[in-house]
Amino acid sequence: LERELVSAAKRGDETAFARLIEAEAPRVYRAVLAVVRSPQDAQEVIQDASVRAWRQLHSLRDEGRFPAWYRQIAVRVAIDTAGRKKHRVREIELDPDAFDARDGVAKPDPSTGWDERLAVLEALSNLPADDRAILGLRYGADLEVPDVAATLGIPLGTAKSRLHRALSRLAAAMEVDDGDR
Amino acid sequence: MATDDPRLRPSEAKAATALRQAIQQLSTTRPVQLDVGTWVSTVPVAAPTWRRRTRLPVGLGVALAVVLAVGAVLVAQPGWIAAPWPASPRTHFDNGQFLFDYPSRWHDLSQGSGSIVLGDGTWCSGRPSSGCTSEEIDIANGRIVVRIWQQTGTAPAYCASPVPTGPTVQKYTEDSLHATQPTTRWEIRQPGYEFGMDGNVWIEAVTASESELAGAQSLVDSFRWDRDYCASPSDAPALPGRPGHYDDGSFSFDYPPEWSVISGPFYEGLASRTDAVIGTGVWHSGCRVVDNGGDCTGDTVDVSGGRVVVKILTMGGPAPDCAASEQPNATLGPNPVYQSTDGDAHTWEIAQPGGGLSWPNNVIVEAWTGDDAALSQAGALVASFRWAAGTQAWNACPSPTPLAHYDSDGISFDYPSTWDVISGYEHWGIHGPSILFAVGTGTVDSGCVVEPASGMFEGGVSCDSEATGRATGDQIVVYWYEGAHLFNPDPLPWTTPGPGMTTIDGHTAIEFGTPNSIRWRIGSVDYIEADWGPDAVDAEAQVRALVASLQSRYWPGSS
Repeated sequence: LERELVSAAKRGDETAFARLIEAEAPRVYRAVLAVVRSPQDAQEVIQDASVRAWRQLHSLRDEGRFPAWYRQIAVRVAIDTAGRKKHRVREIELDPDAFDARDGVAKPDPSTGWDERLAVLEALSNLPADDRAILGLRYGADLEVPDVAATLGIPLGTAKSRLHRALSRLAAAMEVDDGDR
Repeated sequence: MATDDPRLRPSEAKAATALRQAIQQLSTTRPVQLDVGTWVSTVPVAAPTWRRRTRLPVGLGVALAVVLAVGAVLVAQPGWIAAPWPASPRTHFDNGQFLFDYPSRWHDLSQGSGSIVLGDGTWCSGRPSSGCTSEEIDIANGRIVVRIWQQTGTAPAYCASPVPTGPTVQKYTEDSLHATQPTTRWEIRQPGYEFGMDGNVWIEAVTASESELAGAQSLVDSFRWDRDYCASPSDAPALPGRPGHYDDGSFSFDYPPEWSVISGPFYEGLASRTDAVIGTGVWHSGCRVVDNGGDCTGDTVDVSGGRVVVKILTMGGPAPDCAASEQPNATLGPNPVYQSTDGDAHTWEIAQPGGGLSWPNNVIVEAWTGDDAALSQAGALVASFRWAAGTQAWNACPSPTPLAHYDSDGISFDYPSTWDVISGYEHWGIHGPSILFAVGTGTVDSGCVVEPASGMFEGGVSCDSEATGRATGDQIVVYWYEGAHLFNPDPLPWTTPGPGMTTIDGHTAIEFGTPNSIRWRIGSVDYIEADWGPDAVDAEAQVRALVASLQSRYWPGSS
């Protein structure tokens, strides 16, 4: 079905393309969140990546690779976005009040791990964007490591070692040690 | 946790869990808003029908594609053009950038979308809470919907030289627009700009009514720009950093402060990003958005009279081919570079630290000049180039590791020279495993111990049935062992290729993988096994390279 949707989208079928994106975007959004650490920026990345994917869809020869191809575009856009915005003073929405009800979304309950969530986001800011990307793909998008490797276009062994290094850096940045359970 | 994750320390497992939960919470609290139909509704995809319908001169086709491409961007960027509608609709509009008049029977249809939409038909943006799931336009009974937007993000703007003359408006009709409703579009270029550039304004009228279309034409005729940007040098694009020193946080370089900033950042297709175009000459981008996304035909420059144009761009593209990377052929300042020259065009590629040439995120400096002094200035720019502290290449290929050669007891293979030979042939009889070789940085235990006589036990050798490799941290070990025959005489279906079947030195093997180990069963009790710790870098590739190079005069089952 996915191949049929890609074929239809290549012929200009916007509905087919929308179905492809709707199926993949929520997962990719979670990966992108780890990279850009801001829902607003992540939203823009998804939008930008989707428009790029639509424009470049003709270049996708293996129609079965759409998810990995789309993820790759989104991750690259995210890394680029993160690089361009890394000197922002306000990189992440550390203030819980920033998550207001503008979009009809309830403010998160601080009693449900809010501090820990902020700690994770703060720790992420100390990692290179590449680390955030591989962590986002693995633990945000919940991709298996082979899919992470395919998305990044790197060998499986390299993906594993890079994932491990990134996780080690995250743990160090969060200042948790092996006895801190 | 998936089984193919690296083995995690408690701290890493906790970090992974916290990260997963944080992202899950964040994405639940602020879910992605999908509005794909609106994003792509006017962006062309390379459909054959589109190409067949396009019978336009090249320039017109390009401009048409630009407007189509821009539509989605603008629709998706609320607030790009402020729409200062008065409480009571009037016939005059002025937002400080441009002004026009429109028939007073038209209404504001913009719904706070950020676009300028007016007419007597109905328009629904398709945005969340708009009441429709995709953009809808109703022009039944001779009504009209007019949308007005400003081009951005597709073709970089520059003040053309010489100043363009001739028409300032181009009109496109429904025959060329691939539209499902009767549509007419106009592009109105800014003073000093060419058609197709960012900053130009597009007006689209959707109507089947001749009289309403005449109203749209009157709007176009009344359109005026509030100011001439090209007449104001201060409106030149700004670069990050300060005059004479570029710094975007990723890299920096110095350039003669008297040089002009010709263009700021923009994308050239999916692959590359131009960060800056500076110099004293005239430059026109060779890239335009066309019906299949992007088309670059080579930039146009005028560097006559000793002038110079320097373009700095960041490469995109696929992951690098580690085996095919070229080497720098020059050093400018502290920077190893690959430099090449083609006539008056000079190019320097600067690789990211830890990366190779042709890798994504490398920086290319292109200079066009026929003047030696200007060329020296461009070279000085390259020499002053610095990556931001901590920059590392995106896809670091493993550094080639010097190899050592093992050749003993009829078995030979190559292995990293940093490894040790842990064991040669070690035989403990048929009650215990035999180790044919073991190399690496960890240890291998045959499981055999010499036990002294005790009580009724006469003493002797006590063995496990299999050898065991041990590798922690960044350690690795590769070994071939033969299990105790009496414990595991298990014939194998060697003649039946199937999942997990592979060959080593031309012989059939069955491969078993776990997160930090690979085991090949090569006979009823013979195994080649590799184990590595969670910190071992590129362990799997090193193991596979060793096994690929392995040759043996002995092979289980062979005579």
